Amino acid sequence: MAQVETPQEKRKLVEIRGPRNFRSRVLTDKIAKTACLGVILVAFYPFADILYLFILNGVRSISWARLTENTVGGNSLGGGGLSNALEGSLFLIGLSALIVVPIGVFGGVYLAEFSNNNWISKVSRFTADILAGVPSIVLGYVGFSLLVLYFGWGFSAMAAAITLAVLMFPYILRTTELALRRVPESIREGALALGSNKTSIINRLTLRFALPGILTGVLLAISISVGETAPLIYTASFSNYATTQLFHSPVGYLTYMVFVFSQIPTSEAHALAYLASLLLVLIVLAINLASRVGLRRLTKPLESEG
Amino acid sequence: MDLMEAQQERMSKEKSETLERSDENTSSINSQMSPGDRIRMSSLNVYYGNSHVLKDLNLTIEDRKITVIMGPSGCGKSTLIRTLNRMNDTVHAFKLTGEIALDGINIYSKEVNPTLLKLRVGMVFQKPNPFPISIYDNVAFGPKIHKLSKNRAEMDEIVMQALKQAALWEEVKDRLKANALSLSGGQQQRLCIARALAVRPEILLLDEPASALDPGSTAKVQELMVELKKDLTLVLVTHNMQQAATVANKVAFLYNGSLVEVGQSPDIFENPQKKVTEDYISGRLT
Ligand SMILES: Nc1ncnc2c1ncn2[C@@H]1O[C@H](COP(=O)(O)OP(=O)(O)OP(=O)(O)O)[C@@H](O)[C@H]1O
Ligand SMILES: Nc1ncnc2c1ncn2[C@@H]1O[C@H](COP(=O)(O)OP(=O)(O)OP(=O)(O)O)[C@@H](O)[C@H]1O
Ligand SMILES: [Mg+2]
Ligand SMILES: [Mg+2]
Repeated sequence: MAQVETPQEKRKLVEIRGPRNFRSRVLTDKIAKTACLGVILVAFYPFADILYLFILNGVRSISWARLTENTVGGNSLGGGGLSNALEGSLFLIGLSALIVVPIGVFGGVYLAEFSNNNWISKVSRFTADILAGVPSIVLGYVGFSLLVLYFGWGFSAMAAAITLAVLMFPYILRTTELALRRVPESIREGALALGSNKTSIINRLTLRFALPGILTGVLLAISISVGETAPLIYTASFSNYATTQLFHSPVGYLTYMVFVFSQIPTSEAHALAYLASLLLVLIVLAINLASRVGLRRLTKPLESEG
Repeated sequence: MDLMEAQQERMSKEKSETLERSDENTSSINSQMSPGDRIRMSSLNVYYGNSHVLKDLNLTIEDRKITVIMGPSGCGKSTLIRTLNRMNDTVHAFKLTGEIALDGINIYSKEVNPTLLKLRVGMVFQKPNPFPISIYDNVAFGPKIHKLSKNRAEMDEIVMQALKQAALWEEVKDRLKANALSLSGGQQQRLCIARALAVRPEILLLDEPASALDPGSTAKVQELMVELKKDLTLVLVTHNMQQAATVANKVAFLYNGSLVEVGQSPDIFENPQKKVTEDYISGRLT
């Protein structure tokens, strides 16, 4: 800043810079911003470290044989490949999403658009919140007792997928409801005043605007379920062979390989565990990217000018 | 001479006739309506929970005329016109007593479908509420739902006509695909008028449709209203005295939820019968 000379110039500068304590407020603001950035970096460091470790070791472990062959051994030894586990993981993700996404989304639509806060909605919200807090291993045990034993499905894809679906349900239900509730009431009123009924308002307007939020919830739920091990050990067990059977045949999955093979003291087992971790990260990444691309397509006419 | 008294006398006479015939057919009081009336409110009371917002209103809306509702802020104007197409049904703790008849049918009776009612009685809201989709899709929203066009060309025509009527076409014709939220406040308000017109309502309720418009657009919207009057019945809420005097046929003055005075324009402005009306018009009402 230039030398301040006359009182008039001084006043001008005060007007520009603001009153005296304004400058200290600006300083506080800067400190707060820097502190936030620092915290993010500190939190990011271990994350980056882990990612680096997995990516590095995972990439080193990539080989055609490991990607295409079935696992040999299980609790001990640990060799071969992980194609059975990769296929199994994708199978379980797909099956559980197929079961839970429609139920969760329709449930969320009901809660937000139709329930008028009646007792059914209160009970289901409460149940969903409780469910979200239940440890996944407990859900796994319930799945084991109910589906595997009582229904007699055995260790199976269906038992595992339903257990995962129960795990994912509260996230999808609540994010769908919240996303719909964020659509302003004036928009619903506007459509109502044009003589549209509730269904067409939901189909043509509210669902469309809630879609990014709903997709985020679905993604979060899938990402969480991809990383689950405990409930699957109880319901899917593990298998060295890929299967498309829904009942009575155990299924392999990647998290099992990370969990068990990292504890087997051979470098071949460790390589498989690293590769499985890398694949898990890639699956989550792929789902994320795919949904972003899909979302951009769906919302494109809203943003563009042409 | 006292317009309101005359009005009320007519109302109560007709009301008693309604009651006499009510055992024959509760919802059809057609024969009591004078030929020019579309909507008749009788002993209308509206409550939000415990607050009594509209108090014993008796008012008729005449066919192909502009009825202006005036009154200080919070007196119940929006509430009144929102009850005319049942927009308040979903409002929490809303309660209504009395009757609103459209062409002799009580619109709050069971046989009236509230969705179809809204198709006949359209509405432009006090706050512009464009849908966050393209300008074109905003206007086409109603016609699409009600399948008012056979093909794309017809839809284009409907959209263009509605936008032209609302004096917005020239400003948006090159950016119909743009998001409606990118319009200025006044443009959004005209878009909402176009959207309501596109479904061709018989009666149009306008809640301060020109509050954010510049003088030129206001004049255009006023011209539009006068033009629309040929086929449509209009109910207009406005704080703009000049606008009311320019377009109104009938003026209803509402104060604290009660109908204080009903009169023809421009009589009511030149010769208000009640002190509050006079105070309001001259800006002395506090
Ligand atoms: N949904 C609601 N719930 C409870 N009270 C309400 C509701 N809507 C309006 N009111 C109340 O009813 C009264 C009338 O409101 P209304 O919106 O009809 O006024 P108005 O005449 O349109 O006013 P303005 O000129 O400011 O738009 C006000 O006291 C308002 O606070
Ligand atoms: N977010 C946006 N994206 C694209 N165009 C925009 C956006 N906001 C405004 N515009 C355009 O810029 C122009 C000026 O808009 P602005 O809202 O500043 O007008 P204004 O003078 O405030 O009008 P009004 O009196 O109607 O409020 C208009 O043509 C409007 O459509
Ligand atoms: Mg109002
Ligand atoms: Mg503006």
